[in-house]
Amino acid sequence: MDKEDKPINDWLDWLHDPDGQPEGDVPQDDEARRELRRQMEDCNLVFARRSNPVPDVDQAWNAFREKHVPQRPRRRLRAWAMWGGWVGMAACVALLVWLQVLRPESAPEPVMMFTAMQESRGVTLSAGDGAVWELDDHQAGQALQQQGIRADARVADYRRVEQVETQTLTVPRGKDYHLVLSDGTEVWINAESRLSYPSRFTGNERTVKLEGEAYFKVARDAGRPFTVQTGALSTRVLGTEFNLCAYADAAASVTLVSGRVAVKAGGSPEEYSLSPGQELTVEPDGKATLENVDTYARTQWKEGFFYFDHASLKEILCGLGRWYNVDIELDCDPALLDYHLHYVADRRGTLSEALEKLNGLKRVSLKLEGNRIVLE
Amino acid sequence: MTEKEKDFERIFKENYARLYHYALTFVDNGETCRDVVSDVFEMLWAEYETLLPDSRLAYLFTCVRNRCIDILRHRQVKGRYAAFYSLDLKNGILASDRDEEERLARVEKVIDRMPPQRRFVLEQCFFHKKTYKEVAAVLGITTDGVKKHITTALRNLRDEFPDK
Repeated sequence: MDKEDKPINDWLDWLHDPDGQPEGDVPQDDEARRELRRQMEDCNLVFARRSNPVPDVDQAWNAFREKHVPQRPRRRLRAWAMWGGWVGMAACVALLVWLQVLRPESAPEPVMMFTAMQESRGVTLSAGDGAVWELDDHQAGQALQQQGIRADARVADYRRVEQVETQTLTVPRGKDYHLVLSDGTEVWINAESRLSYPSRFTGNERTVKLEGEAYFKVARDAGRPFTVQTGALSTRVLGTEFNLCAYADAAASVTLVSGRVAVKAGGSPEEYSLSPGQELTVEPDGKATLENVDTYARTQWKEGFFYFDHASLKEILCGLGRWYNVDIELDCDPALLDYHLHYVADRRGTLSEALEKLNGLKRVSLKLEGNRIVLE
Repeated sequence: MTEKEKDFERIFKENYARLYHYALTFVDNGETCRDVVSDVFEMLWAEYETLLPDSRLAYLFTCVRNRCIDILRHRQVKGRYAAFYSLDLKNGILASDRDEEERLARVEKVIDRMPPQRRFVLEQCFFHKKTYKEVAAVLGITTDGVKKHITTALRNLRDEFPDK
């Protein structure tokens, strides 16, 4: 550590030692204290603006004005009192409008925002002949070995496969899976996802189909481009690492970690070329945005973490719902779902541990009731 | 509307959001901060005539700060943040809107360039007033590791503003 950092470091130590005596040795350096204080305030302002929606100033002003500034409408109302009948009628109409239009909004019913699935099996592999194998079953492993596929509950390796057929690997909620394709390309498949691929690549193209989320580490082969197709995106690469997230009914995104990819969205002929660190997001309505992101945060799931960096509460909850297979019920203003948070948790932990951490951020209140998370 | 009402409305609308975000730098709870800002405007309304026009803004910011420090003390926030914040500083909060916007845009850029873990540490320790120990436990790193992140983050910020 640099010598010049020492005064600031003293202050940092002093601030963060909760066991120290309150009057304990207070660092004396005014200059360092001022500097730290200014930096802290600036950082906090940035964090405050990011994580809190801009307040509704007009609403605040109206509330204040009602209390302090005499209102003309009140005076007018007194004048109207003469027109008793009219006022009575207006009141009836207002009451009707309130009952029919406004009231349902002011007392919202709980809304289900994420639904648990009835059955949640292990990872399955469906082969070309219609057979379905449960990969955590030892006998399935032996049968697949005959075809040259080395598979167990966590990983399948296709590098010694001779036969060519299309196979589909399905990963349920709460699991992930590691696949090594015949060309040596590695794929980490996230929960609630499905990948279809030829057991051996032939010809000049390597093409696979994905629903859900997967991380690809594509083996370089300049002569045979590798293409991942999802409902909305077609991602073409030579040799590179990227994350692809394409769950049904949500925005699809490609995050490039290294190398280069070209992405086509929907039926559009336009091709997006991504550089490392960039992410292309395509909304269900076809709107596409390209931005720079932290790829670290996007790929931590394959290391076994929920890692949300400035993510909306909605994204975080869907992530938890997908992993723990639970219902999520909304018993609050839906605007809360747009709150952005930093959230890190271990996927190997229990759901209540994960929720405790989220509640610990002191922004939201989540309750676990049986197989249901309620957001209040 | 009287002259006072008109002036007051302008001050209210121009500064409400700024004061709200300022309050959040002390207390990371939106609802509490909205209450603080409303209360402080009540105080200004009551004291309006006794204050010189030029000192009204300073009055608002000072009251927000004092209120927030009271809340921090009341909650017995771990560490010494309350004491630290109550130390009198000639800070730049009353800098013009434009200077502040420009400065914060640069700070935000520095923060965005940090690796996510460092940003996480900075936000938890500074904004949420968590101790090194708590943040270290969440991330599974040592308290020294947390402190190192903060020291590096502060150095990044200093490098962005070498003149200060």
